[in-house]
Amino acid sequence: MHEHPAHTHMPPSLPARLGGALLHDLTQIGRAALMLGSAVRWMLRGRLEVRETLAQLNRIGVESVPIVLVTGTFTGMVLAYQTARQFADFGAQGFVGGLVGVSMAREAGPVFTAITAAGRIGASMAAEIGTMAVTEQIDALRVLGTDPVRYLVVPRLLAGAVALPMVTMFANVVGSVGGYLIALGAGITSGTFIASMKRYLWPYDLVAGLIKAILFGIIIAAVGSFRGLQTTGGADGVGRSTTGAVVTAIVLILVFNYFLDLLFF
Amino acid sequence: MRAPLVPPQPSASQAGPHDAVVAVRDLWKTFDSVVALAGVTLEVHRREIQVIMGPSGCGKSVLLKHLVGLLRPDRGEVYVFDRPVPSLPEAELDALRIQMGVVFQSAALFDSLTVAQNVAFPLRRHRHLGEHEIAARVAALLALVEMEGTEPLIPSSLSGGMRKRVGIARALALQPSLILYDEPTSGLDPLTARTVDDLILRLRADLGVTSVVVTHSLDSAFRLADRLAVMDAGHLCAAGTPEEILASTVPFVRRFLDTRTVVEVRPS
Repeated sequence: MHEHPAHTHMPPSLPARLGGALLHDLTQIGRAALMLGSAVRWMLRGRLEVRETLAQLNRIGVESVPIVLVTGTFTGMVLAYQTARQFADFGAQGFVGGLVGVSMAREAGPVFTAITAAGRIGASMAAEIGTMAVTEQIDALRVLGTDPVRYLVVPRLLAGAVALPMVTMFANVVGSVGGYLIALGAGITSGTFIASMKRYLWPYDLVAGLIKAILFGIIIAAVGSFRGLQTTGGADGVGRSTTGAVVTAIVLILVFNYFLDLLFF
Repeated sequence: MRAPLVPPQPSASQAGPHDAVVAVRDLWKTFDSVVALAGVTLEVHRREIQVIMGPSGCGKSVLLKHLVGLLRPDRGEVYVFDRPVPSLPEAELDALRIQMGVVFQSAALFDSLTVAQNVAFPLRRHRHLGEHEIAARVAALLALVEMEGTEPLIPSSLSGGMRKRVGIARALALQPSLILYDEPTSGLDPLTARTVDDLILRLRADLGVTSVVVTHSLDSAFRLADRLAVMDAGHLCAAGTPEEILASTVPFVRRFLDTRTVVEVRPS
């Protein structure tokens, strides 16, 4: 076999590798921005895919109900369990209801629901669109005169933005009920818990939490769609896109959550 | 915007020759320092079946993707219906694309849709038709490819040959005047392959469409071609009528043609 003189078998130096990785990341961010820009243009033109959007709303919203019922309830339960015991030492049982309500509305509801959705919805979006990409179905959409961003991405972004706050509100409600039941078990009366929640939980907390959920829904759908569209290399590539979508979405959710908290509270 | 009284005529310097449905000039494409197309020039004339053959990885599918604007060239020109494909804005490219039918190697049917929904997909998006009319057109298209009654099936339940035929039906839905076939018979048994070849010939005879067929099957190539082009490592190493290709003295063409198998029955 010929050795091409230009080919050396030296591994690339650390700065070269870091530079390469940085360049790759910046390219990906640029591509994601282009995808989102194109999605926004389609939305502004008002040319929406109603059937696809409704199907995605069903998948993100309705089909998430069972799992969020479990995660939301247990989140509320653990909040009440921890606080009821700690607060009892200070005779501060009157704060438990408020703490459960405020924690669910501001943080636990939106963040845990979003992380659950990233695993369930973000992964399935990346897998579905990724499979379409590696089996020429995305190319087929294009040659049939259909922009994949318009047909696949916009419905998912809209459905994510609409469904995730709804599912989050559902988590807030079942979490509060779960917390209430645990508080009763810990000897806090029903009246104390409810009065405390009424006193400390403001509509602002709920609204701010739901605004966070809108953004998280967009993050999950955007990352899942983007990783899907970028998929190359067969089943292996689909697997990498799927895990990549979940990890990226969760990291972005946690980072954005912090900065939104700075903004809201 | 002022509407022109006559459709704008491309200037002589920009346009491809008028009898050529497809004109490719000095087309170059490189992927990560691998040269996929190295200066390909080719014309496809109206109502002809142009076959592009060559071994796997010679760049023939890459060439096909340039015709429909799925890839942009590094250098060179691509004209389809006298329109410069690489420089068209997205909306005009979409309008051009729906005048072409593309049959993908893997058929590329949408898994989440039924056979009927797949075939109806381009009709629903680009034609304003009632449900009855769509159903009638889908049935007619499926009959054309001998897939009657398969409307409610999902693509994953079909065999490779059936998927390919549904893919052809979908590509024909908007009555394109140019059809691009990417390996239409690869992975099919000889009988099914023959059926697909016959279908391609019939579409040209009945509807007068222009066809570009990319294949590595010599059998299909010589059965279909009005004109043949042979590709090797991104180069077009021979082009002409089947007779001219058979008589070619280009070493690669000779080697490629010599792979034809002659079936003989051993005397008992």
